[in-house]
Amino acid sequence: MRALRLIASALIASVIALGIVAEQDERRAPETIMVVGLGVPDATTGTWFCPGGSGPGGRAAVALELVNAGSEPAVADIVTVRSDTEPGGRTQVAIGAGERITVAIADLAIEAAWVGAIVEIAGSDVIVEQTYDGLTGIDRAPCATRTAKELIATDGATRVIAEGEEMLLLLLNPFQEDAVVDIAFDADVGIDRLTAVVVPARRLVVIDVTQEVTVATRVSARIEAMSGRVVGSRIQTRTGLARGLTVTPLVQDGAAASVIPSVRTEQGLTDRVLVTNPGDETAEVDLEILSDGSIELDPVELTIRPGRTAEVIVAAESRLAVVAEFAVLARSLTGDPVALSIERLAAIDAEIVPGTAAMPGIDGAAERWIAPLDGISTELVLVNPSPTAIAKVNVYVARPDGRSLLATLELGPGRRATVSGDVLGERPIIVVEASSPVVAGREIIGFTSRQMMGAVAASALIPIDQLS
Amino acid sequence: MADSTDERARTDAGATEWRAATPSVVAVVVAHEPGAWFEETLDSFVTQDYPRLDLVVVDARGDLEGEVAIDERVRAVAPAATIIDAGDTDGFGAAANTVLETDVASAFLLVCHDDVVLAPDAVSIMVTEAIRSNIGIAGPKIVHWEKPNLLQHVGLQVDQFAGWADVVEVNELDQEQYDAVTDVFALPSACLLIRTSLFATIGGFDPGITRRGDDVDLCWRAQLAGGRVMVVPDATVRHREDLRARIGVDDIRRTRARHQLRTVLVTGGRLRLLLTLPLLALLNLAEILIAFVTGRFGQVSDVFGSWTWNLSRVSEIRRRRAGLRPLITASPKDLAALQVAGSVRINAFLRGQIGRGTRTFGRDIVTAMRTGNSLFSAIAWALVVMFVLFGSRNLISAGIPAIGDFAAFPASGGDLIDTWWSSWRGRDVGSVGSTPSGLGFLGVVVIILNGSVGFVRTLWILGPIFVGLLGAWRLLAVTGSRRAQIGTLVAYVALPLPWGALADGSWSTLGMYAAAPWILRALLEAQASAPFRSVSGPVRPLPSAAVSGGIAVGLIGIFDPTVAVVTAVLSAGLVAGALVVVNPTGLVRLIGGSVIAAVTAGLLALPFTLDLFLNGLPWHSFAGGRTGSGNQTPLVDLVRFDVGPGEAGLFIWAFAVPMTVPLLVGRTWRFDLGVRLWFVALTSWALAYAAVRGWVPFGLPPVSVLSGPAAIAVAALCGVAVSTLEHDLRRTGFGWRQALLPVAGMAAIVAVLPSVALLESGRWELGRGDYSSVLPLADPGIDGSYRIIWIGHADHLPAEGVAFADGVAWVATIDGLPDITETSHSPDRGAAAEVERVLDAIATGETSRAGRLLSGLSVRYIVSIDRVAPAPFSTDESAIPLPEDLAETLDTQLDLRRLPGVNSAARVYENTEWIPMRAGAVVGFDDGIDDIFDLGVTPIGSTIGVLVGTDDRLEGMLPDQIELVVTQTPDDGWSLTVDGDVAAKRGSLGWATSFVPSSGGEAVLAYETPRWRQFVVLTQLLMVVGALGFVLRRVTGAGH
Repeated sequence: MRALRLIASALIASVIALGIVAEQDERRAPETIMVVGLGVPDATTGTWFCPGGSGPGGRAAVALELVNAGSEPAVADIVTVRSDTEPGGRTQVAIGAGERITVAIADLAIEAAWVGAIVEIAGSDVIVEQTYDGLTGIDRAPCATRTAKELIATDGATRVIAEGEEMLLLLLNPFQEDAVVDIAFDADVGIDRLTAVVVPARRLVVIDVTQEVTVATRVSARIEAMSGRVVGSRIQTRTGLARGLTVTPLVQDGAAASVIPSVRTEQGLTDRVLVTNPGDETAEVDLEILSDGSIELDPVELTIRPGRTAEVIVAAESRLAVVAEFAVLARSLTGDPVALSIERLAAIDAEIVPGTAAMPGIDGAAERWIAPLDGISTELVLVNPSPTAIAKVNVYVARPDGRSLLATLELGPGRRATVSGDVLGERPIIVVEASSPVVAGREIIGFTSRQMMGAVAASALIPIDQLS
Repeated sequence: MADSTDERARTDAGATEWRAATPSVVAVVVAHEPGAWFEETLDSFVTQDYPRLDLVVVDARGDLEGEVAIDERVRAVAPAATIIDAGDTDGFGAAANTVLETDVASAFLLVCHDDVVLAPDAVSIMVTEAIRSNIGIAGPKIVHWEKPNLLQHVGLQVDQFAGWADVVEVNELDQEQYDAVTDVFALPSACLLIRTSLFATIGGFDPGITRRGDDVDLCWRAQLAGGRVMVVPDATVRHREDLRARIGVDDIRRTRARHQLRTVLVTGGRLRLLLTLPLLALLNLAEILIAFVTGRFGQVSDVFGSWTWNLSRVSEIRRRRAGLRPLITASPKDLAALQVAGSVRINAFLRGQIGRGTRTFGRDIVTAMRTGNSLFSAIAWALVVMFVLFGSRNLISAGIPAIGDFAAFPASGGDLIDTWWSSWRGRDVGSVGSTPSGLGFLGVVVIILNGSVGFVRTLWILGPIFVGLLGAWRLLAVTGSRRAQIGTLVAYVALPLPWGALADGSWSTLGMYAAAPWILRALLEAQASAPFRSVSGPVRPLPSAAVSGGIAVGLIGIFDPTVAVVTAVLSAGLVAGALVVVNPTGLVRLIGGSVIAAVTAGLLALPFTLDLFLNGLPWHSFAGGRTGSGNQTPLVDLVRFDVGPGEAGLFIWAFAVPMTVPLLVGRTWRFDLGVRLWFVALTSWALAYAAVRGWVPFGLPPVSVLSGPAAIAVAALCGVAVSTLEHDLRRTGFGWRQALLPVAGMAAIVAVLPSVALLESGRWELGRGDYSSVLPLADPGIDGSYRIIWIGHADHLPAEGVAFADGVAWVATIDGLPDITETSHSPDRGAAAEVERVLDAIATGETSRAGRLLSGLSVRYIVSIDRVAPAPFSTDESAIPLPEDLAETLDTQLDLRRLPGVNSAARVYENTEWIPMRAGAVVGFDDGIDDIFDLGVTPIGSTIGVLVGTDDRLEGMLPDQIELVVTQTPDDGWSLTVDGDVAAKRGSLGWATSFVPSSGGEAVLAYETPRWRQFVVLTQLLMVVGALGFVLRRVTGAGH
């Protein structure tokens, strides 16, 4: 009896002890649904939010360009969103395989001062971009595929009289309930704030920053949605030393790591890399220099206070002059999201094509990208931001009669490469397919203007800071 | 010869002289179809030695053709008797009262039944004592007719509620132990000597009391009027007392309850009634609950009916009260001194005077009395019942909100039965399958209780607690130790598990709480290890024990099948325990018993079991929307049953002390049983812990259900500890073990304290309101019926959900919150996969047109809830919000409008593209739509809602030239007739049905349940009735 009592007691005590030991292990958190919420547009969603621009004759007359990189025709459902109280128009457009179609959405919103659009397409091979034509230049920008509660414009200027600089923010609310946003401006002339700005359901609201923050050489804006979600873009016009129109999607939420595919040290160009810290803690950010591998450079280290923007004028960093062009990977060492963008100015008196260009950082990598090209000189930029993976990349040109291989290249970890589109004729549609996630961007140079933008992801996106 | 003549003359003269000095007595014998004994009765009056006794026979029935008339029988024995015809009266009292209508001038009346035989000197003794002691009403010692050595009545004990019981025990031997003249409160009406003036003053018997209680009422009023009531045991009377057999009606309980209340109402003063009536109501409520739990539904009706019966006679009662007031000379204190404190009925029950030989439960308590623990048992039960009732007082008085599993009931019992009879399940997107059969039985109960839906719902929720407590009480009955039973009972009620389940609205847990003790007992009996085995073998044959366990599972399983998991846990725990204590024989019996129990339970839940097999044994019916993912519930909370919103506190750990007692000092079966119970508890906790850690790759029932077997094991361990202290401690020498008794006692007191703290709210922390009043859902009558998809944590959904992501489940209902008929799963889920496809697309961000996709499923609202009850009836701490990513994808749908101003515990999205569930649409409305996802680019055009409702038969007008699209799982049982013509039907939207009537008109859309399904339901009904019979046989002891 005594032995049995001992055995039973020992067994019971052992089970209890096992439980206590097991309890010391860290719990596995429930798996959350992985919805990648990145700023880079993702063609797989099929829904596009285009903050748009002005009507015909305005500062940035907008049209949509629908690009079908697939082998099947597609139908797009377009609903316009106006800045006034008139109802938006609706139309359906068919896009043949390998075709690009321009839709003048202003025609669907007669007499609208500003017009945006919501485009829905079934299929992941069709992308939607906005083209702009203004008095100061032309530009293009992809529509967004995601809305956000926080948007950041890292740069802008409002010196109207001295430099002819004007800055506008376009906010589009595609949903069925009103959104209310607060906008915080951080300028070299001080800080300012707009509170409780209502963006009505299915409406477009234009904020003239020039009127709010006057004579600012540099102004950044942080838009925080108190309720609802919005998309937005910044329109910056310049008529001074550097003349041009740039329409740039606002950075959504920021990211712990993002990439500018193309930064140049070329004579006559002024590239400025801007990093905004929208958080409440000071951010430590490294700007890693990714080149073609010919040279290794130490990162640029930045310490950015909460709500502030750090500016890196590339030309002023003499050690970078040894590389003609490179990519920048901004990595937040603290893990807090930051917003990255680049502004490029080419003065009129330089011996290069003048104009302005800007683009936000690309915060996701994918194995498939679509990049419609344009202009007289175009360049596709590919970056492998992974620290370990080697990416084998095939670059195709999509045409109505099928696609053809343009180039094959191999990108080592942290390497950058370019593919010229100059020989591809007018308006080619480039499709990039890689064996591991990469980042793709575009540089387009026209006769009188410059454009920079990312390509559009056409497969699952992976946040750059999660790449292994 | 002359001497003798002179002596006789002197004797006659003396007798005449004595006769002249004695008061006259009129014996009033109320005869109602007396049997062959009547002549003997009459003869006993004729042969009385009392000289001034006249006999009056009241014929309470009147002459009947073909039978010997009463007067002939009376004349044959007592030619001088007077006969009064009282055939127009009803009841003994009213018949006896007819004597007052004559010119009776005697000093005393001797009112008797027609089945008594008086001893020859009975009248003279009573009269003598009446004069000597100034008695108002005197009564003899009444003995059995056949066995005069057995006492029948020596006066009655009466309490303040007019409840009465005999002074003597049943079949108590007459050993002259009651042979003293004594004041009593009442005397049985079998034979009463009453002063005529008193009888006339108080108006005789209450004619409203036909039988039973008339004597108590008479004596009560007599005493109020100053009369003294005494028993005179030297006078003896034999009495047949077989009223039930004579009248052929067993209405003892009914008449007793009615007349008891009537007496209280008539005799009580206003102030006294303020105290007495609520107490009586409380007693009646307890009696109803016990009766309900023990299956005595007739008693429920009788006790409840006593109130309605008296309420319908309020004016008559008021008149009698008014008539009595001027006569009252005695003070209430004087009367109270003669009344029994407390409840005579409870005392009598405990003493076996009530229910003896007919109720096992009563017999248990009778046995308890004899083992010397009766008072303790009674107090324990009283405290436990009062604890539950007092703690539930606000739930009982204010109703129970529809929180969690406690869904609302349909409007009537008929609706419940209809749902049970039909095999169409409307929830989600419709499916064919059995409704939980228990709903049908609830419907029957509702009808029996005259449509008291709310009352039945309260019973449905609180009843399992009493069933569980009864099971806990009986679990260790085989040990013969009432203290062990009390220990188990008190521990079971003191554990926080049921109260947490009530707070969380978890009926599954309550069902488990009810079933676990019975299942455990059945399995222990099947295992047949000591103490469930005597020297002659198992206390119960294996098949009988196993079938009992199966019935326990089945009867709860017909409400909630998750209880089946409990059986598996209990079996596994007992198997582990049997291995440790090396009991291979018991192991084999246990496994065999478990299999038989499972088969029995499966048969009882036949339609559900059949559906399970027909659908490939799907697991979702047991998982309730859980995926097997882990959560943050700590182990300590599981072990201390901290499953509700309240904090169990540190004191609950005190249970550990009695739990270890059997292990430390238990001997023989107490040690073995202790080990087995420990392993039941450990197995239960281990499974629950595995569930919260996410170690099980599939969903399991709620943690509170899984840890339920541990609760009964802990409670039983406390009971075994008591038995151990009783038997084993005294065998040990002086040492540390001796300290166990005070330590365990203190621990028991400390362990019970946390539960006492729960009494404060009177509702066990269950929220005071539900979602029905806070959600801005549209009236389906305006635009047509619609679906609502509820998403959230499985524990918070208003019905059993289905998981579609870790920690997130969904369920779809029609036109609002689900009622009880929609809360459970059917094994066949119909076309629910279509909903899950859309939800997956939303969750993964693949669509921003969820509204269009959901329009094909007629989903008008998506309601995300993160608490079991809305604010402020639940706390933020209990919230499990929707995963941020999922909330974001819902926020970013282009055609879902989040409604503003909704309660903080919910998010409501309205689908701006929805179509009604039964929508009239233009012909060809679905051209090109072969799949739900086609709606993303080709939305359905305008439709109109028709045939609104949730039933499986809908009627209404259908316009011309339209199709009727019905967005539910297609099934051949559905048909549409328009003006009597059956409409053609076709598939639509890739999953639904479209009816194409030739013209508009009066439309009937109806579902016809297949005959074979109705046959299965009927078969199950028979089996459940059989099972109930089995249970009743066990409870009433007929099965022994």
